[in-house]
Amino acid sequence: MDYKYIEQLIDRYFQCETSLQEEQILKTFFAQEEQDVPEELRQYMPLFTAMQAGETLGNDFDDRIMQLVKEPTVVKARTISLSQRLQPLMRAAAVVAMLFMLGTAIDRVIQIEPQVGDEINYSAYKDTYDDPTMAYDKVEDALRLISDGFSMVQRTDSARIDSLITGLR
Amino acid sequence: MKQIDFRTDILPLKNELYRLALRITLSHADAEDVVQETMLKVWNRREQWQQIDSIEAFCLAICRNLALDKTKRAERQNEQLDESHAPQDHSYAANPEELAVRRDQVALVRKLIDQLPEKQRSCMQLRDIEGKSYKEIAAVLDINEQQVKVNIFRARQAIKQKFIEHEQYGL
Amino acid sequence: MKRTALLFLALTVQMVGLAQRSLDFAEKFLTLCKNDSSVKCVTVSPKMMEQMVKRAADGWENNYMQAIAKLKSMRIVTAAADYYQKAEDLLTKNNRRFKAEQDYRTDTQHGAFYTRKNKKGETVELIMLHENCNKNVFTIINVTGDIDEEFLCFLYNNKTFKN
Repeated sequence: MDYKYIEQLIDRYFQCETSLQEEQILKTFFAQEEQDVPEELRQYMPLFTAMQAGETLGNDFDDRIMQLVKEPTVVKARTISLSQRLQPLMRAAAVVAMLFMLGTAIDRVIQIEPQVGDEINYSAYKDTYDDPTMAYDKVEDALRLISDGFSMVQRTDSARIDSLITGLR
Repeated sequence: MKQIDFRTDILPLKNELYRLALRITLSHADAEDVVQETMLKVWNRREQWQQIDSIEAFCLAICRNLALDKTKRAERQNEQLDESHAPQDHSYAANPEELAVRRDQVALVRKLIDQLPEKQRSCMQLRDIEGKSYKEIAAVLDINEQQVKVNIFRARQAIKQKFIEHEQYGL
Repeated sequence: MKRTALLFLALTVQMVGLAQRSLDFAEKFLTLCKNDSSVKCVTVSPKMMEQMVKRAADGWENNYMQAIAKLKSMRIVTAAADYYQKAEDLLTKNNRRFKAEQDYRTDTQHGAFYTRKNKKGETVELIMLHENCNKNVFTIINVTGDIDEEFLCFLYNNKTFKN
């Protein structure tokens, strides 16, 4: 695996040139198990781990505040279950696994005149649905399947590495 | 224009307000008080809510100012200057020289952040931990975006430098 | 004589130009399965993508809007499980155009990702083959657009990382 991309991101991080998304990539990358992080990069783990938001206030705080505030109308509160909150974090590790697939900045070559052959003829596309709401439903399902696929890639990779290690023993 | 509701829009900010207040006051108890005061203050200004660009930045700014007031009043600034002083709370590592395992190293980084000048500390908290944009951070601290970037740059460089120093010293 | 030759040349060039207008992978696959009614395809064109983004600007709530804004098109093809091999073979046949990336396998599902990159090295097309063994269903998801790190982050909607 090519970690030049991560090394580049780290350099840019200290130069204050990274975007929020790139910083999240670094945090996610270093949130992996130590054995999954290459040795030369492990020195950065404490730094990015320290950036994970930790401290929280309990529900009793909410009760206290609502008592003091005495809001007149009862509004339906948004409740997010624990599993819902954890889900994105687990998927994020899959993002890292897929990064190397996308042809990151260092892979980009000098721009050459794009060939006509690269252009897709979109005018030939006939929409299945006329209603954006229906189209959105399908698109959402598809995007969810893609991100599930990424998660499965990550799990498969770990399993492969595990069996490789076991095989070597 | 979306109607702002205290329970669903403002109360959920409690944790990021708490972490900012904690970063400034270095005390769990004080930080919790600050968040409570912030919530009440924001509630009392509910007439203004609709006119505010970002209710989140508004809350964070109030929180920061209250935390700074509390810090000054408690005169904890003296304690900040003394690097070897260990804060009361168990979540912080006791002694930098004893750090060896990863978990302690993480605690070391947190402690180093706590020792930064307040502006750098707050900018780093809002950017690196809470994931806010430069624009949002500028609104909270009432400085411009370039100044935010400078603060974060200095903070990151300082942490990197001090962490290396500690690690080498530890060996 | 010369004019005819030139005209002929101009026509040929134009025809070659048209022939070089590409198809996404789904289109190639559908062409292969042309008379097969068991193969279904849902198409979302660039115009429809735009419409969805516009609706979001009007306050219509949805989670994947930022990811969708980076897409040009989407095709969702469904067929019986035994079509998986067909799709895979077609991709292998066109391996100069479509690059095999990661694959995955669980007890009940398996699949693979393929990409097509442009001259700049940017990923412009992402293809996912997916089979659900229990349901005997094979799905191809084929998107085109700006498939970069930002797209991935929007897919994961990273603002939910904070509580």
